[in-house]
Amino acid sequence: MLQKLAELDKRWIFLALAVVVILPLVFPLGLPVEPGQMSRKFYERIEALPEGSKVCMSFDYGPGTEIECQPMASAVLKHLFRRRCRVVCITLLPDGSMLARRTLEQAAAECKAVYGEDCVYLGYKNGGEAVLRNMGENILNVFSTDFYGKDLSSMPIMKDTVNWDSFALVIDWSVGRPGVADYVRIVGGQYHRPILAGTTAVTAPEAYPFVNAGQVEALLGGLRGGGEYEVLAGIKGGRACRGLEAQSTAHFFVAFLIILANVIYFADKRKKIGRGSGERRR
Amino acid sequence: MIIQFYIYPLDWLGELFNSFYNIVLTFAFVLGAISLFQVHGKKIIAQTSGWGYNLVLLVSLTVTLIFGLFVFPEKGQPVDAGTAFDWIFNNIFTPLCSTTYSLLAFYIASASFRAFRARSAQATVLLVTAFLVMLFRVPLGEYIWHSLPWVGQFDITAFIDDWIMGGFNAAGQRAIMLGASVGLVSISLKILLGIEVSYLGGND
Amino acid sequence: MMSRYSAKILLAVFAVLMFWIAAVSAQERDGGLNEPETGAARSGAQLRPGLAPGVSGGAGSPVVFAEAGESVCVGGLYERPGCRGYFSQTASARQLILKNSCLQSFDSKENRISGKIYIDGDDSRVIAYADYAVIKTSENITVRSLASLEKLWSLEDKSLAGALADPVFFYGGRMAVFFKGEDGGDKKYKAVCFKIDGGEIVWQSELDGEVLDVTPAGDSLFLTVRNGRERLAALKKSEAAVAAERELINLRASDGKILKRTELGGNSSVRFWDGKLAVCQDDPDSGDFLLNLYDMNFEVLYRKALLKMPVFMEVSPDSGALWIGIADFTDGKELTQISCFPCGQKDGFAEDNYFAYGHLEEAVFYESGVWCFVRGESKFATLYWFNNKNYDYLVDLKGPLENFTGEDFSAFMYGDRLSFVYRNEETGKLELGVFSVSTSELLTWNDDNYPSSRPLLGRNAEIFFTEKSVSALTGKENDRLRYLNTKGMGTWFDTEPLSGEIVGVRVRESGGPAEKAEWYALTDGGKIYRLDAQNGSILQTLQAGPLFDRSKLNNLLGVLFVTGSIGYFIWRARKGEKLFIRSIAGLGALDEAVGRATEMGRPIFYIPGLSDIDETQTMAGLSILGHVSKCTAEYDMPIVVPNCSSVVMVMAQDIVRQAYLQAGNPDSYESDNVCFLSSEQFGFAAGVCGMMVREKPAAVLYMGNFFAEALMLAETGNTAGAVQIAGTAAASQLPFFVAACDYTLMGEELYAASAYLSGEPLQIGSLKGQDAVKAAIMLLIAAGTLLTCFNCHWLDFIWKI
Repeated sequence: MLQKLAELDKRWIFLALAVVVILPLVFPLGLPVEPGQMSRKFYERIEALPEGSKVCMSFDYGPGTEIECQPMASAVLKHLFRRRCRVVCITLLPDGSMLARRTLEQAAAECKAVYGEDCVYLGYKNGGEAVLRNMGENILNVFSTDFYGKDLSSMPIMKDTVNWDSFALVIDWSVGRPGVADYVRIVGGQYHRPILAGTTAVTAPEAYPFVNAGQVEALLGGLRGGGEYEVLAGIKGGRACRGLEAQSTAHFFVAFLIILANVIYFADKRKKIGRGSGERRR
Repeated sequence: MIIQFYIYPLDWLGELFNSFYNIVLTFAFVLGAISLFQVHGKKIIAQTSGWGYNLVLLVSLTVTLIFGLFVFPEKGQPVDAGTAFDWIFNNIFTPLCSTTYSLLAFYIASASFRAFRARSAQATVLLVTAFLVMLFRVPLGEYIWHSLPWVGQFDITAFIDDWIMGGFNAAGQRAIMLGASVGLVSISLKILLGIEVSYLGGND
Repeated sequence: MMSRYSAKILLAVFAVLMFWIAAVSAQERDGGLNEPETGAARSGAQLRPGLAPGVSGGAGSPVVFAEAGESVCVGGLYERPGCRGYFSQTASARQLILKNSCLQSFDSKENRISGKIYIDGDDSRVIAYADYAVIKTSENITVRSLASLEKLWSLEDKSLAGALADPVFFYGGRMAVFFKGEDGGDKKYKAVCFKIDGGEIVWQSELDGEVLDVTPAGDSLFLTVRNGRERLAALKKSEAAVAAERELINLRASDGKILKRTELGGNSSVRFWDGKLAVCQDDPDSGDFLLNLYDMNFEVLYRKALLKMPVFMEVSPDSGALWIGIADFTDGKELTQISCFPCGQKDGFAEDNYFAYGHLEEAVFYESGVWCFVRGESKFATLYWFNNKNYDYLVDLKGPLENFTGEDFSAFMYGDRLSFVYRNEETGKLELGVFSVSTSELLTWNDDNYPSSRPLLGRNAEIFFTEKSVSALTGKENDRLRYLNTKGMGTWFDTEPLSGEIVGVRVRESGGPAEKAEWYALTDGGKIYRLDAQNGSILQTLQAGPLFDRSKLNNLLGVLFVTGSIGYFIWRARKGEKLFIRSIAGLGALDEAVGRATEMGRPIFYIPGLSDIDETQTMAGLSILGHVSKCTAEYDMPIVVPNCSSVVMVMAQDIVRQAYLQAGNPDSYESDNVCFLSSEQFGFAAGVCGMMVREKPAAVLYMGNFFAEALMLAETGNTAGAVQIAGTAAASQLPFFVAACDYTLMGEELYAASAYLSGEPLQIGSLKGQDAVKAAIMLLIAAGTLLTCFNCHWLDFIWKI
């Protein structure tokens, strides 16, 4: 039995994982999501913004990581609109440009935010760090029109929006580069703007040193961060909360696999059962 | 570029060189496209095994390019909402990327089954930490933990966030970051001074 | 490539240059600066009083209370949103300029920078008063000489600990500063008065709350204080349902003694007028808006209910009359009511009331009256002149102010001219009008030559504008200064383009017409230009900002330290010294991997990461590719290099081709093996996985920057049965590579790989230099941790560099 398990074809594992992930999506478990300290800090930071504050939001994720980053971005956008803050959106990744537009349009429609007054999407600009530096001098030097080609000088939201100093807060949704490190270096380091960030679960550990050092005020990590923020923002039936149940069962399944693998390993060690895959030097 | 970083009046130099870089990069895209057509075109012409997939690639590339550059809607840009390019992006490209990204979950499961063995003390510590983070940072794990008598009072999530993620993990990340940054300065210096030339393919 | 001598010389020159710049720019540092404001903040009044000729329409100059016979000057800083450069207006020939936290004193008599200091921090302000420059942070005050910026004194008294609050108030050679702090959980507030020249404390006074405004009156200072005793105001008419209660305190200016107090409502505005105190406030009891006239003992002399809270309440600088402007609605139309209380009324308090239908856009005081721009419903605006002699509907400017919008509207008085700008709703263009009081002549310009910017400065018959021009070389926008002589009915006078955006213009008075004058223009590019008024040519250019970015000094020192360390060990290696480096398992296995591939007759895959050539990890990966391709070329083995970037592909092709050429197997090189797959992350990953499954490589090397696809690639390679060696500095992907690959180079090992593989002394020396730097950092961390545990702050100076 153990030998069969040790030689188990990977595809059985894949199938079992697929079942374990699909079931909670079809039959929701209704698990409570308790917001953690970091999500609360993120939420309270936005709650502390005065009405009418201008916030810059950067969508630096692509279609692959959309599932993790989009729910938190959407939840935070809706929160900002409800706080009557004004949001200027940009993106530094070409993949992110269409996703940012869609997220902004959906959130604005739901919260009845007026484009050009409450929000604007400036689009994608190539250059990464160079874009952030040039925006510190004058945003209009970098973006002369918005994503749709409209002149920015005619928009009320862009009045008195000159450079990073015009924003009360900067929020970055990133998965690597350009990402949190660039914002910390340029926007936080040179222009002393407060930064909030949201990343995938995989890249969140890289951002923790910035959080500990106070360079990033709060961080939302992965689907969990998105789910917690949806709960805080009062968004019912959000994608992140639904996904968290599937993530929970998947995690338990992987933990089970690890335990099983170790049982096999120790049994193998005792009984000296040869395994087909062989050992490689580590 | 280094000097303009420190000297105020010269910061326009940085902007200038960045513009040069962007222009060169744009031309490089053309080179990439040519390489694609060359490689896959040869396989289609020679009808090597699987040449159908090469054809699909070239057709997809061409169709997307045409829709993205040349097919204008009545009003606006080819990439606006409701255009064919937008449809391709939302209904083909995004689901494909999400699907490929989701394959990682399956790979993690098989990698865990294969690789996470308690071979040594360090590996055991790694295992235990992985269990804690995996199980108790999800709602199901938290729910189960808080249902347990006695130990359920202890806030395991805060412990994981503060000690494991904010403590051990952050320390390790910082160490790697510091080392990599110093290495980056070193290799940059070597490249600038001409000590490191192997990336150019020659010894001179 | 560079010879070893030229590399040495370049390094030496660079190091000397950096040291010199650092030494030159090492200046005494002070407080910090963010958004400076003028001396005493005003509450209530929305509109500006009249401005002195030659003074630009800035953020409003404060009126500084002075004792009789005392000479003071109006100090303040002129600011434009988003700019980091400032001019100040002072009566002396000195101006304070701020650029990127470098405060400088510019002597416009001698045309030179006479003093310079660095300020950093976000919570500071600079205020010019008399011959002093006062730099205030939330915790400290420093007073410097305006001429040389030499430090005169700073606040040392620890018993005054607590946050320094706004406003700071100047009078008679003294400075009143307000503190707020905590004492055992209770909030404490204090007013302290210092002598401006020596810092000696004249008096201290405990207060009940935070000071919101200071109004000088006679020998008293009237402080509007928020005492935090909230009361629910009546909802009848009050615009604030709940108001934190305020009180008005009469504080004797000479000794700080509190003489009297009275309660104020939620919204309040206080002015000293004709020996009395005029206070507009919400009455918390009745909910009405009230105008109360008090004597110095807070006895009510006159009380009147107002329709609404006034839009402005100001004392005319010339006539001393009290003007109050109220916006109201009647019969569904907006109504502006202007009330004027003339000075010197002995019996009672009669007022003159003037009404106009429409929205009050702007009020500009002039002599004995006030100019009011009132915008009606019908897109016309009317200019009214109200004086307290008689109501004078002086000018009906229906024609020129057609399609009037309040957008971009501004007006200011200079000399005997009233200049105003508004945007024409139909054409979208800015329109300029100049009304001459002496001749009752209205001049307007709305042709295409009109620049699309607001006036910067008005002087006599001239108005100065800026106009943008784009630099052909950098594409950057620069400003030209244009000047309109209104006497000549629209003659324009251009200057050369100046570097950056003009943030301030001053005219050096010559006592004659502008043609004989000189202009000073400060740009956000950090330069002061002295321009010839005859032809606009640049007579002199001064660098107003600092040469060196002071905030990057710590960065520079770090770079110098790392560079120095690496340079030292390279020098030692050059001398022939044998330097030891430990073995790196992953790199040792490279040859093994190539050998395995040769035996099995299967290709080697080399993936240089997903980033572009600007990423140093990619450069490191390409360096290793050079070595690996040499091995494969020697064994005549195929090497497949799929790329995510076309630039990297081109370089990789060159590297591999060279390797095969040098090994004597040029025919074995196949260019199709070094190909571009896709710049899209998962497209590339899918492509590589497909290739691995089809071609079943014997060895796969991942050297570069990877993202989420790392595990996908590694697992697929494992399934294909390949030996896998990975190297990346992307910390988030290292765990996946460690789990799935046979060998992993972590972080800097990737950068060290090239040096390790080549074995050249120069390269090995650089590795040792890296290690020395790391050792120093580790020592610093350990020392800092230990010292912090024992509450020692010996190393704190490092963080303040």
